[in-house]
Amino acid sequence: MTDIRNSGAESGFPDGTAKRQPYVELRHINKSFGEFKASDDVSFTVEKGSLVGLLGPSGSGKTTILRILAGLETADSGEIYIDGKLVNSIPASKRGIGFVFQSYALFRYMTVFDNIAFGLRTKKVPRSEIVEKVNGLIELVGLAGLNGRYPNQLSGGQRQRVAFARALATEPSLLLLDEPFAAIDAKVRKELRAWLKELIQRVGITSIFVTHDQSEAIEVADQIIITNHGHIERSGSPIEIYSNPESSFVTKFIGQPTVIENPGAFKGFSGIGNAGATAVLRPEFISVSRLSEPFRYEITAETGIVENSFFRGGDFELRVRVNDQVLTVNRPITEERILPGEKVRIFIRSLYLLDGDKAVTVLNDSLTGNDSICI
Amino acid sequence: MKREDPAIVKGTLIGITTAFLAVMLVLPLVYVVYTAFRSGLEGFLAAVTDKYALHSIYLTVIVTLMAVAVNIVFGLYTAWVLTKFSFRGKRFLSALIDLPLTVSPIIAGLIFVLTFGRQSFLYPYLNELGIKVIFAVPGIVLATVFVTFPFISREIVPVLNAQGRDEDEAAALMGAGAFQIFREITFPHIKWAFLYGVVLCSARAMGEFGAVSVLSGHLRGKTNTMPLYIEILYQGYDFTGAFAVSSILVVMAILILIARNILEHRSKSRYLR
Repeated sequence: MTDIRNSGAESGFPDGTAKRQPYVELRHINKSFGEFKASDDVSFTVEKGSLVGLLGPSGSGKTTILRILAGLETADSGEIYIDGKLVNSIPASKRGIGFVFQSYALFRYMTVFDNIAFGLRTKKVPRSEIVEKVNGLIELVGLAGLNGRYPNQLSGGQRQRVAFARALATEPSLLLLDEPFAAIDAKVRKELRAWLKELIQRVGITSIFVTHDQSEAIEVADQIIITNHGHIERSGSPIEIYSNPESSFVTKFIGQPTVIENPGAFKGFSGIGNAGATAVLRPEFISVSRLSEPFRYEITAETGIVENSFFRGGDFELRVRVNDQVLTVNRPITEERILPGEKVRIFIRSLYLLDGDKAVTVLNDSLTGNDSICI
Repeated sequence: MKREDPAIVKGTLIGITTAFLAVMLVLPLVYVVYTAFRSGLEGFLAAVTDKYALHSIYLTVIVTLMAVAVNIVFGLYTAWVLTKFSFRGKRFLSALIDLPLTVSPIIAGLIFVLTFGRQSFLYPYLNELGIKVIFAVPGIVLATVFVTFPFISREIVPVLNAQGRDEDEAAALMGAGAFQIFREITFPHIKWAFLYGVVLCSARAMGEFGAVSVLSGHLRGKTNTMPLYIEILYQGYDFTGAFAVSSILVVMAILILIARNILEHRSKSRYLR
């Protein structure tokens, strides 16, 4: 939790500074592949210099948006503006875009050097300039000494760096990355995320990347755009989206959600009268304690039975059965361990009540009183 | 790891295979050469330097070159179309390309006789233009092209499919034109498969008998390719001549086989690199 907030605060665009001219703007983009509607009235703006994450489940149309923006697909209707210019009829190669493919699409019969030099050669840049530029880029992405290697002699992480350098070679004004970390193993992925974010900030290029991994979007992006069934669900800084998901879909997508039925049955939420309501809980909304431990909100606490306990490194993830529903709760490893079968006290601070497409935060009754302490 | 089979099983299996190949392939080939030289070297030389024999060799080489040239262009083009675009009827089209492999060559020959022969509606126009297709070299080339059409595209299509479109799109985004993409990205990728296809195509073009037989009219010194000429000599009980010309065709086939193995080896080591 804490590192998410920190990274959001460091790089985010605080509210109220969004007065700048948008650098990329999509207006009412529609695109269908046969019966399948891949883009459904997509509109959003991206500010110059920001790093935007298009986040959504697979098949939600995020890659299509990226490809339409790059000019690799043509929208059925709608307008695309880059730097204030309508680019609908401008061919892909003239839009000033660098593209990193999910598979990297490195030219397998060319060396690292030739891969990066390709765009410059196409643009008829003088040879001496190409050599200087490409060597500079190889240095920048930390691949010095590998100029003569072929793509299949590189590791996944190195290939991604080559793809990145190649996309930057022609000095595009907009960088698009399609699932840039999907093909890399988990350990290297963490490193590369930090590296990419740092490098994009250093180069200062407006970038949009596609991902289905929320932790990736939250860690890397300044702004997150969430897609679902071809339309935009929500757009905002990672911290805004995380702490105030607003829509029912985002609530069920972001964080580590547990959907519960009839939330009014839980102590402290009797205000929710409707028995057919559903709500979303996150582990951080719930605290768990042993019956022997002192507890402040005795009256609004529930008792439950621990069904399962999973070790997750820094903490234990407990599955607790309360009111015949199973909740997921985290307990730090530094506290006394709770074993399956034990009776525990559960306190739910707040939950997201789903109301059609909307999600509303509801606080526990005992926290809305005078002596309430905010989280 | 692999379980070691008993030596007797291994020996028997290898023995059967070797015996089969010896009886089915090696023996006949040796016999061809033996018969060719049965009347001595002079007989052999006389048979292969015969005016008609030389012409049949010349015609075979020419027809092969032309058929391969045509199939290089159309094979590359078809493979490109079938892999780079998705369109209605694509499956049908790719199945259609294999048709020459399933249709008997005789039928292939007859198709062209019907299309370009006297009974065809095209015949008067062709006649007016002075173009002779049936019982002439153009007919032989047509038949050979038809029969060997699938070889090049069939070799290339799987390789192109495996490559996908990403590299092309990446290159196009960087401003490369279609020709540059073909030359620098697609061709290096399909090179070995392409050359392998050319080899198979040549081998088949040289040896084609059925379709060519229908269209050629068997005019000695005019429309007889090597296989047709061999047939004529054989029917005329000129065994020395038939086998002498055969042995030249066999040598050509073996050369192509060697080329094929070299290419196969190169393309494998290429992938491993």
